[in-house]
Amino acid sequence: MTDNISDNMTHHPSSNTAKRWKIYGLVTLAIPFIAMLIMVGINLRALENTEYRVAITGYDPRDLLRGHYLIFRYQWPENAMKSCDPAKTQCCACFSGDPQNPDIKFLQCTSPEATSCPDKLALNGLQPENRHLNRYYIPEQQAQYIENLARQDKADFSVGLVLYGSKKQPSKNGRVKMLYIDNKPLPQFLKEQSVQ
Amino acid sequence: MFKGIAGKLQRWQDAELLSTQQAQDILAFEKQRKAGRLTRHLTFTGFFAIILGLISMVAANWTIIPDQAKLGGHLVLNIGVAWAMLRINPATHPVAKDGLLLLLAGLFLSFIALIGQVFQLHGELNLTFGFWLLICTPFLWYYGRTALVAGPWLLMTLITGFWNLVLYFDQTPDTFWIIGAIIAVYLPIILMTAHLYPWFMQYKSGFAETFLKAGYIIPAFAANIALFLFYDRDRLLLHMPQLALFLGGFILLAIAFHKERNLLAYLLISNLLIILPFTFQSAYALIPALLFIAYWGFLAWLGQRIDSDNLMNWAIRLIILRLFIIYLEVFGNMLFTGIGLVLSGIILLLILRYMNRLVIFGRKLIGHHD
Repeated sequence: MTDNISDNMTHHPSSNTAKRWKIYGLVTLAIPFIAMLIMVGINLRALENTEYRVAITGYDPRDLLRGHYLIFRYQWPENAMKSCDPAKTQCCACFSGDPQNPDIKFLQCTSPEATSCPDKLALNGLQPENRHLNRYYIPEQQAQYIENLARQDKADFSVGLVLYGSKKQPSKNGRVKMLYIDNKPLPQFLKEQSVQ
Repeated sequence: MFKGIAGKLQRWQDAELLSTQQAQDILAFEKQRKAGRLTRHLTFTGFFAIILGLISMVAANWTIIPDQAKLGGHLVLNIGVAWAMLRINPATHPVAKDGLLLLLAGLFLSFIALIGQVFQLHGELNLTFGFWLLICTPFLWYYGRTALVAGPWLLMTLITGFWNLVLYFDQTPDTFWIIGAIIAVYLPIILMTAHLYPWFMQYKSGFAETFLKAGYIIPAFAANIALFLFYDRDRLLLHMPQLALFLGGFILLAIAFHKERNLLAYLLISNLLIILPFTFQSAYALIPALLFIAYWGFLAWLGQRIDSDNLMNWAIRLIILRLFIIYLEVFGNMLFTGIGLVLSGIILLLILRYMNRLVIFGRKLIGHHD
């Protein structure tokens, strides 16, 4: 004796109900596939936005509990803080100009200048409010090599930061698209160094 | 020595337990049953070696595999497992079908993790599990039928639910404990009464059995957590609305299980312990310990009444261990001395060595005669 709904229904000669139940089953199976495709689509679309290059520094030991993440701090240009002091109020970093060498200005998030800035990121002190923007996943095999490189200060590190979301939002969402070492994307750098 | 079943059959023939014809029939039957076994095992080994090799190659070259290939490959794998699951007839191979269902759910979790890795998402783990359960529950419920799916699903749902609750009430832990206690009172009622629905029993019998067992276990689990919470003296106490909710739970229990006296007694006493930490604060550390022993003594007695040797024995074992822990709590300072450590170690070893005799003694104490 079967106890699956659609299997039971197929014993009846006119089985529109059975077909309908089979379709319900396929719909439940399609849900996670659709969800995965939507997740991939949203993220691919987000990464199509302008990628701003920002220098990073100050490496902490990897957070082993969350896998192998490189934890870093953003190294903002010296003149970024002229219009807003993050020690006194919340600032937003406004990005403009050449993405490879962007013009970054700290502005008061509620100021008219900040409102009209197309690509801005809310900060908490000197770092992004979204703390996930201070980490980058490194595969285990390369983690030790990169960490040593950073600790010994033997290379220049920067990240490609992508901002996405509505311009009307007080702050856009951000994503770290790529880690650059000596201006080369991580996979290319590792390939040239023959690190697998 | 190497004659196998033929040798056994010969010995049985010699002892006139089997006739010659019977022995020949048995031998023929076994040969047919085992036919192709070696081939099947070697085939399985071959496929396993291929899969292992593929996994190793992927792992070794993970960093140079393009992200599109990783995502595309995982998608193809998920589609393949889903297709294989759909092909299996649940009437003849329910365990295989449910096994593939579980594998598929696991693959969706790994797919979410892969998307996170490729796009550097760094999502919160509790929300990731919640999302995963949300998208997988519909097909697990639709296609699943045995405890192989029901058990893990229920466990993950409870863990994820409480995990998110704990984090949501991070700033007000007392609120979490009260909500948790309310859930611990009502959830077993919902789980145990689910099997009363004919539709559920007919189409999801494995789920119904699993829910019933979970409904039996949760009150004891929650009662023991409540006893640990009883140690905490700075605790939020109940107001009337919350007390009314608990009392409502008690009334529901009485209505749902009034015909099953043993079960009702177990649920009422467990629920009383669950709300105990929220009704008054214990002035003495020994009171929760004594309540623990009394509760498990009650469960041992209940085990005797329902002829459950397992329940009886485990309850007595827990009481013995708890008495040992009381000894450690009372003479805790002695553990800082060499003699104290030696004595505690000897006592623990003696308890473990003579545990069975202590259990038999405990059974006699509660009136059980073997």
